[in-house]
Amino acid sequence: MKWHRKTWMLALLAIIAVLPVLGIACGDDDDEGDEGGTPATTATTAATTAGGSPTKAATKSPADEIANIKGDTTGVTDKEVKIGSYYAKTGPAAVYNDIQLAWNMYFDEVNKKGGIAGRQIKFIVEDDGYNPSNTVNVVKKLVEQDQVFMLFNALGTPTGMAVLEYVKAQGVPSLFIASGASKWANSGPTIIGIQPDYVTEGTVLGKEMAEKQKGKKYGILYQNDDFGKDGREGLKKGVGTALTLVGEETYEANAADITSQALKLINAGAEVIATYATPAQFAGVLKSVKAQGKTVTWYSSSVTASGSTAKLAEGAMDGVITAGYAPDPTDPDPDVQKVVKFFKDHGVANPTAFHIVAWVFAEHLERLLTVTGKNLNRSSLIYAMENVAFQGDWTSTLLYKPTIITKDDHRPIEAMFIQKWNQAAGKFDFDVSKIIDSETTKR
Amino acid sequence: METFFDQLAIGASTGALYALLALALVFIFRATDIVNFAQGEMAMFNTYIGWSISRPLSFSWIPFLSIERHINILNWHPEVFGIPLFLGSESDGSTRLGYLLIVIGTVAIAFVMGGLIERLIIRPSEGKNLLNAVIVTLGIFAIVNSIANWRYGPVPQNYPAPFKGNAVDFGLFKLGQHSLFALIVGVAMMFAIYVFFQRTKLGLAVRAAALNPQASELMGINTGQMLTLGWSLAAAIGCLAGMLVAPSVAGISPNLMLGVLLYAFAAAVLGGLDSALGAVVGGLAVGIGQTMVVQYIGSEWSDIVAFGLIIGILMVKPTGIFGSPVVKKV
Amino acid sequence: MKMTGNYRQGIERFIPSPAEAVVLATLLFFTWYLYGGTGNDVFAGLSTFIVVAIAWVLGVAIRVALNDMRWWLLVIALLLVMAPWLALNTFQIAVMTEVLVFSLLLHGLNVVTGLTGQMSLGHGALVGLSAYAVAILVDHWDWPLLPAMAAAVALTFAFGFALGIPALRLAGPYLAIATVAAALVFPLVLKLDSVQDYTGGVQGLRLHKQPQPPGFIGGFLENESIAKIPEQKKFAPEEVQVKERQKFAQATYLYFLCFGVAAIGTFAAWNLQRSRFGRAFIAVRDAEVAATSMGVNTALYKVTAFGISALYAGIAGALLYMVVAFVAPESFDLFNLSINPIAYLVIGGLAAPGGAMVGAFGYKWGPEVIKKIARTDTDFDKLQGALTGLMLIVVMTRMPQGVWGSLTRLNSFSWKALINETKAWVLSRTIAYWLAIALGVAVVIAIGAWFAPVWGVFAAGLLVVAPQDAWAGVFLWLRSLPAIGRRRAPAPGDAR
Repeated sequence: MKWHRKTWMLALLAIIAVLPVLGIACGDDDDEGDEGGTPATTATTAATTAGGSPTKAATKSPADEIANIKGDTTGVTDKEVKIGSYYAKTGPAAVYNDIQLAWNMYFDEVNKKGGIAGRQIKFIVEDDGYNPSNTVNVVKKLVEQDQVFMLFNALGTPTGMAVLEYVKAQGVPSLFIASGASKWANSGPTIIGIQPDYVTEGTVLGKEMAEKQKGKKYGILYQNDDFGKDGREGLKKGVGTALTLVGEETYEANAADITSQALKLINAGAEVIATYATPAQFAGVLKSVKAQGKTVTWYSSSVTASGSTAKLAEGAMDGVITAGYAPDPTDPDPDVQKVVKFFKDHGVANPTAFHIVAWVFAEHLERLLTVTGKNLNRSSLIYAMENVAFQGDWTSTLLYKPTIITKDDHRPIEAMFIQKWNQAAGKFDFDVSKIIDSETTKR
Repeated sequence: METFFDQLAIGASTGALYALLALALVFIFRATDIVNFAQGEMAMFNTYIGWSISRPLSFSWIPFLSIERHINILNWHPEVFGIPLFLGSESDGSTRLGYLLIVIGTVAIAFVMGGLIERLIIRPSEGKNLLNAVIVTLGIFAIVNSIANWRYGPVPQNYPAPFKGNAVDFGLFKLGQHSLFALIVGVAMMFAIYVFFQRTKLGLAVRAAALNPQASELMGINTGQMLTLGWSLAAAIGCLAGMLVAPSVAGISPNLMLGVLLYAFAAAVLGGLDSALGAVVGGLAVGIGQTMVVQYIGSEWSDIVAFGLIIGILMVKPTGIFGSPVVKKV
Repeated sequence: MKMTGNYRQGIERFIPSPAEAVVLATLLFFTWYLYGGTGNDVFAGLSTFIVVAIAWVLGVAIRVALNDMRWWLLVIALLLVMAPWLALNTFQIAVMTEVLVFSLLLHGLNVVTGLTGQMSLGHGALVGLSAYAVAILVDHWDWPLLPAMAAAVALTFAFGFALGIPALRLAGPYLAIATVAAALVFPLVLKLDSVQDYTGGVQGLRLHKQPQPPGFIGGFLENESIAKIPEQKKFAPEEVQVKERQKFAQATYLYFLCFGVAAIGTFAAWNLQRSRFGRAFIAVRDAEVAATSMGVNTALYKVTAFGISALYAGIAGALLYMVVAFVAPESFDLFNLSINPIAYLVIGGLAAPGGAMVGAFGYKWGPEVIKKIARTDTDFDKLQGALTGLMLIVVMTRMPQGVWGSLTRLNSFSWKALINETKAWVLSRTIAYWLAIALGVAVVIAIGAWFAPVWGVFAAGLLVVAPQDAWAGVFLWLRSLPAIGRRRAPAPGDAR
């Protein structure tokens, strides 16, 4: 049979006509769902929006209530729960990647012991390079393609802001976000941060300055991003009128050297400088100001409160006063040393403050999943978080005060302390009894 | 006035760092006629190699030599101006290589690495579109940065420096010992590059190979070798720059050069991409300019004004302050 | 660029030509990637097979019917139209949407870099300017989205023209660095305290309402989406399913909005290149002085090129804000929007609209595919950047004219010539050379055992030098093998 051009064209048209049908057929192809068992609950019937209030049952305690809450079980099977997160694995923000690696180690250990409520915890951590446009894609991938149950400890403020609306609209819980923005505390039931926000922290630091350095002149040196600007706001609020502000200087996150800004403040008469800077730049400025022979009292954010900053500063960190909410690996406390040993056993040569906070974050998630138990869905998770898991009866092994989360209080860790680096002893000096619990003082 | 001179000194010491990397950029531009985006990352990686050989010696990596038992070299510690030349004892009792040995070793490795990169990666893309070579250097940038991240991790590490003491007092201002050292090295390197290109046969050959490869081939110059040499030397200069940058920014990390490279580019372009003097002047100008903006305009304007000025100067002098003008031919 | 001509006879017509084979292989790999995400191999394999089979049958049909090699352009266009249906979920639709948006940016870069030969590394600032203009108009002055986008594009166009005038004075690396400076300054200006009320400062600006598909289109798309509901939600209550359908309808609607703009943009770029303007641009690039003396107003054309380029960048920026629904200073970092696009443009192929499309595709999907490859174990994860860099280098050394340029050259392929060339290549080197290579490999292995980074360097070298064309059967580039072991002899037309 001879095929003419017209015949071919007809055949082509026929194929084009059939294509959309085939396209749908591909998508319709019955696939067996995910590896690792059947969905945990059969047909979900009740409210699917996470955080919905449970049906009334006057005789039952909140803890028993969890088992009855129905909700969205995306990403949960009897054997596994898929949890997503995003971190920067490249670029300047890649230093924080250690946190993610550390909590992965923690949960590897948990999984080896059988997981939580019979489920293995599986993390999918995406790299967004700390770029908000990338974060949008990455989170869409986690939610739409990987079908994760929730997001845990995702890194960054601008990145989190970029996906906030989307995550809320999808009802995906984004819990314990690794960022100190105050925004997370009032973004609805499914969103919560973990660390004290920078404004609160700045206020604590500012109040300490107001108390100890009354009447002196001070300057603020901050990084030109949300972290620095929030910190600056808190500092000013905390200091009030007790000290005189001689100047506020800023620098870009990738600056090689920020001595110039510090010298400007000192030459303007500042006796105290409060900084919201990252460890490398802070250590650099400490070193060069000391080399210039100038003396000034430094106050600094919890970000720089670690032994590794002191090591970078090569002795210039002596006497620096910082805020803090978690201990440093240099702390001789046995609990801390146990954690340090855990990470050393897992191949980390020098565990840093990042590993400590990662441990704290991981403990929070473990506590939450344990309390939620067998009946794990997005609604029961949020219910357990707000009503059962963190009611003041549970404290992370590395923290000093219990974590409290309620429906109106989405600020998990709030207890902070003021500490001073002691170069000779190689550790921070601080007084456990003087912990400032902003839980009681705020609002 | 004290404020002014303080800022001048700080600006000069940051500017010296920009100038050092800018010199490497100028060198490679003159020697191979391409703008090397990977210069900073290559320097960073070589600096890391310097870091790994500066750690306490255990000699376990040379099992068949077992130096500790047979050679009594560890007790011999000659010093120059208080800097251990070959081996130094640390306060914690460990033995490290002396600074001079570290520098020599690292620069040698950088020299080889630069040549290898030219031979293996740059060569196949040569003689095509100039943009191709630039994209290839971007590729090297990504590769080197990611290998450093993978091998050494993102956390900054302390870096050895020869002079660590307090600042030297010049009356009007004080300059940190390390900054002074960096400035001196920068100026010395500038002269060395000038002499190399203008006063030696080899330098002339390198320049000729870059400017007109066909004619130089006919004159008997092995242009391939010249290009390799250009990359090797540029890598070595960049490596020296990195070794001086790392101690002054509180340690080495894979992003060591991120905050320096762009300013170094600005400095090189400001001074003129084919002028070593321009690189040093440009570096100092950018560094001092930044601190002056911080002091007298406001710190959030520092980069905006600095880069704005550079664009403005280029409008007036399109090939930089000391750059030779480009002649257009049919 | 012409690809017509009766190419094969008889049964040979049904065997893919090398160019077709490359397209099919890419399709095969990509479809496998897309459907592999489900974790169901049978499903992934079947879908891949069906898609590739359709493409092949279609391709052969068109080729034989139209006697034309451009069949795969039609197939690609068809696949693009069908993308929302072929995609498994709204994430993949969203990435495809961004591919279209970025293709516009690359078309714009192509006008400046590919046609006029000026290197601009500052287009991120133009994209950002447009995106922020839309954001501020919508957020601060409550403009509707579409007029705001039109205003922003007009603003960027005007700004681009203005930018072109100072750019006239600069050339080569000086222009490149000046534009880098502009791209660096842009996010800093956004963060200034004095403009924070408008730009939202470090917090950025959010688009609260993305465009919704109008009634009947929305209804149609929602009906089309039934197959898209994820497995786990198939038995979920009606309201969940409705939500999933709306999600699909919304994403598909955005996709087709961008598809329309990108189609017009590509068509315009294609025509521009062959117009009086396009030829004048190329004349400015290749022989500026000659062009001037022939009466071409080079200054005018250079400025126009900048303006057109900014127009494209502006459209891309406005669409990007519509699609991503968020802007912050961090979004406009130097690499993400200024340097990487130009790298991918060169990879795709300069001075060809098809190259810009390929580049945009690589820019969005390349990292995704690399992530998938790199995820084999945790330590390797950190080497994603190295794989990306390697890809840049391999493409630049093996395909100096970009993927598109190489594809169009493949039609003159002959197996006989390939065998002869390979033979000649092996024989052109002495036994000593091959021995030296073997020795080198042995040394590297020995050193690598002691000092791990050497492995990375070695692997990089190996991928560049050795298995050149193990990839995708693209053997033609053997001709451009590296000159190692050969003396470098510049050709007369050697551009330097």
